[in-house]
Amino acid sequence: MNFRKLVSSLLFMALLALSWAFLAAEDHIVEESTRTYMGRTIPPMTSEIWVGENKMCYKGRSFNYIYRFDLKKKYTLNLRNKKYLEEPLEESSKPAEKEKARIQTLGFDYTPVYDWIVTKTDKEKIIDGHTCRLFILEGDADYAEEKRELWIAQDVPIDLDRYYEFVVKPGLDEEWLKIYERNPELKHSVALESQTITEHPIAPTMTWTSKITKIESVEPPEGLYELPEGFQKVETREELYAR
Amino acid sequence: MKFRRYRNIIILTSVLSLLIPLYSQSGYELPEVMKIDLKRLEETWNILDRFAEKIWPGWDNYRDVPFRFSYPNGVEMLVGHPDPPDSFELLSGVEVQGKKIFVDRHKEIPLELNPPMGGGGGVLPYGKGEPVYIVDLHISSYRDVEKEEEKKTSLPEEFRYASDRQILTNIHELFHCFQRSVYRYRFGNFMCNPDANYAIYAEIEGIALEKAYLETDEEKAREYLKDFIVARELKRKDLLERERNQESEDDLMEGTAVYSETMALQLMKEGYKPLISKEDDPYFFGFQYVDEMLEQKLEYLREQRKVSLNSRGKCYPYGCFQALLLSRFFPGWQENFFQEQKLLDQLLREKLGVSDPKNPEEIAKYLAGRYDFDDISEHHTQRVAQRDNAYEMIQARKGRVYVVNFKPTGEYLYPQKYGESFEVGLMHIYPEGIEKAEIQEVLFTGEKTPTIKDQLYYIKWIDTEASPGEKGYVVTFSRKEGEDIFYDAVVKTKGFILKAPKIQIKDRESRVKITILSKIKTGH
Repeated sequence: MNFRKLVSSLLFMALLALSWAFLAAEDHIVEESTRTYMGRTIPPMTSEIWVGENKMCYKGRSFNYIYRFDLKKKYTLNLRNKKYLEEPLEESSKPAEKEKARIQTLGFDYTPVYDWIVTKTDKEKIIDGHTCRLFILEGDADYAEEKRELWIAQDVPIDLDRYYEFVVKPGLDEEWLKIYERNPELKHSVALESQTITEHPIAPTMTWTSKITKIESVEPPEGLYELPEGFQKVETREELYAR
Repeated sequence: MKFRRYRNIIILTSVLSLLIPLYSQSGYELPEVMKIDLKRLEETWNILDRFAEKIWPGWDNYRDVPFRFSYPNGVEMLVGHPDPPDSFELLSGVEVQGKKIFVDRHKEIPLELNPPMGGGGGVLPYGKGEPVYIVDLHISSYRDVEKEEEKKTSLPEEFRYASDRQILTNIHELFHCFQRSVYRYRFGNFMCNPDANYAIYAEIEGIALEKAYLETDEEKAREYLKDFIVARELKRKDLLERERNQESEDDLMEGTAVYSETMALQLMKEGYKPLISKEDDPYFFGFQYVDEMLEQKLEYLREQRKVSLNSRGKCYPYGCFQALLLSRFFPGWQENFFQEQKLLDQLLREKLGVSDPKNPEEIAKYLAGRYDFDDISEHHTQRVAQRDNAYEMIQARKGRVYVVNFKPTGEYLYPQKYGESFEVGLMHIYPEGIEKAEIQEVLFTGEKTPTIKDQLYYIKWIDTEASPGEKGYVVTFSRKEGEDIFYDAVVKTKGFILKAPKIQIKDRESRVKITILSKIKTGH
C-alpha cells in the first residue's frame, strides 16, 4: 500500500468513525426541579432525560421510565423495591377508554378541566448562552387555577422534533395537543426554565420551578434502554408501588 | 417508661408555667382566644400525663408533637416546632411548659376573635427543613353571639362543652401522632358513596354494635358482635378489595382516636384534678359534664348509623365501639396491636372465631329476623334513590357556569338550604337551592334553583337559560382596580346575589368565576 492510499484509508476510517459517533449521539437533558408547599421548599431534585431513535429514558430519584416506541412498550422501574411494570404504549391521539363510573367513587377526585390562555410575551433573556422567550399559560377551571411561565429556547443542540415527539407529546392530553399545534414556536422548543403555580381546590398553593442544567447531544451509556438486571416484573401498579 | 421518671418534674414545670405571662416581650400580645388555646393545650398534656399509659400502653410521645392553630383573622400560631417556616416569628418571653411559641401574621386582617372558639383539623408533616408531624387545627367561632354580656350570663348549651370538647379533640389528634409512630398506614382513605345495600347493612352493623355494648349478658353481647361482623360482609358485597381494607383502616385510625377520647373521659370520671381553671379559660368546665359527654359518644353512634349517604363519618363511632368491645371481652388486646398491623374487625373475627359467611342469603335472612330490616331498608333505599335522581338532574344542567370561590376566606362553607340536600363525594347538591351562605361580611343569597357546594369552598350555579352574548349578571361597586377587581361589590344574577367587600370576576365565555378576595372591609 502506497503512502497516498494509506492516508486515504485512514481519512476514510476517521470520517466513518466521526459519522458513526454522530449517528450514535443522542439527546441528553439534565433538569433540576424544586417544589414549594406550605412554607417549605424541598431541596432540588435532579432528573435526566435521554432521547434516541424511537427510545426515551427518564431517570428520576425513585423511578425510571423507559419508553420503547419501537416495541410499543413502556417500562416503569421502581428503584427502591427493584420491581418494574411493563405497559403497552398507547397512541397518544387515541383517548383511553373511560371505565364506567361507579356511584361509590363519584365526586371524590376532582380533575380540573382548564381553559387555557396562551400568551407569547416580548420578554427575552439569555440562559446559559441560549436566547429564551417567555410564554405564559394561564389555566382556569371551576375549582382550580394554574399558571405556567416557560422560558423557551430553540437554539439548542438537540433534535427538537424528536424531543417533542418522544418526550413532550406522550404526556399531552387532547387539549394540550391543540395548544401545541396552535403554537408552533412552543412545539419546536424546550423550556430551559419554568415555573408552575397551582391553586388546588382545597390544598394550599403549590409552586414548581425547574431549570435545565445540561442540554447536549452525546453518546449514551450502554444498555440505557434495556431493563437492568435484578429487577422483578410485576403485573399491577399496587405491586409496583408496594414498599 | 421514660415519662414516669420525669413525671414530677413535668408536673412542677406545668404548675410553674401557669405563672408565666402569655404576652410577648417582642410586642405582640396574644389575643384571649389564643391564650385559651394554649391553656387548653396545657390541660391536654395534664390529662395525658395522668392517663395516656392507661388509655393505650406505650403512648408517651404526646408532648413531642407541635401544634399549629390557624385563626379566621389570618394569624397562625405554632407551638413547640423545632424548625418553623420563615414566615413565623418567635414570640420572645412566651413559652408554654418550655415550648416556644411562634406566630405568622403575614395574612392578618383586622378581624376580632371572640371566644369561645374551637376547631378540628388533622395531622400533617410541616416545617422549613425536614418536616415533622404536627397537629393542625383550624379554629373558628362556635356561633355568633351579638351581645358579649349574654354569653356570660346565660351560657348557651354548646358553650358548656366548648373547651372540654376542644381538649378531647387535642387528645384525638395527638393519638393520631402516636399511631404514626407504631403503625404503618397502608391503604389510604375510604372514599365511597353508599349504595342502598351498603347503607342498609351499615345501619344493622351500628345497631349490633350498640346492642353488644349495652347488653350485660356476655353470651348475648358476643352474638351481637358476630352480627356486626356478618352484616359487615353483606354490606361490602359491591366493594373492591382495596375499599374494604380502606374502610377497616379508617375504623382503626379514627376509631381508636375516638376510643382514646372515650377512655380519657371514663378515666377522668374515676378521679381527676384539672390543671387550669375558669380564670385561665372561662369556657373550661373541668369535665363536670363527663356523663353527658360519654352519652354523646353513644348518641354519635346512633346518629351515624342512620346516615344513608355518607360512609366516612361512620368510622369514628364504629371503630371506637369495636375497640371498646375488644377491651371488654379481650383485655390486653392492645399489646402489640398496632405493631402487628392488625385491623379492628380482623381481630374481632379472629377472637370470636367468625369465618366468611358460606351462605350470604341465609345470613341475610337471619339478620332480617333479628333487626327491623323492612323499615331500615325502606328508609335507605328511598334516600339513595333521591340522591341518584338529584345527581342525574344536576349533571344534565347545561349552560353558563357561575362559580363563587370562597377559598381565600380560609373558612368552610355551611350554607342554609331550601329543602333537602344530597352528598355525592365532596359535592353537596341542593336541588331546591341554597338560601344563604355567610362568612363574615360576605353574603350569598340564592334563589330556589338547583345549586351545588363542592370542594368545601365553592358554590356553583348553572344558568340554563343564558343566551349567547348576554352578560347574565350586573355588578355594582364602590371602587374598581384594574379590569377585574371590585370593592364593596354586589353581583346580581338570575340565580343569586353576592355581596362582598372585595372580589375578582373572571368572565370567560362558558364560565363566570367570582373569587372572594376579602371577607371584611379593610379600609382599602
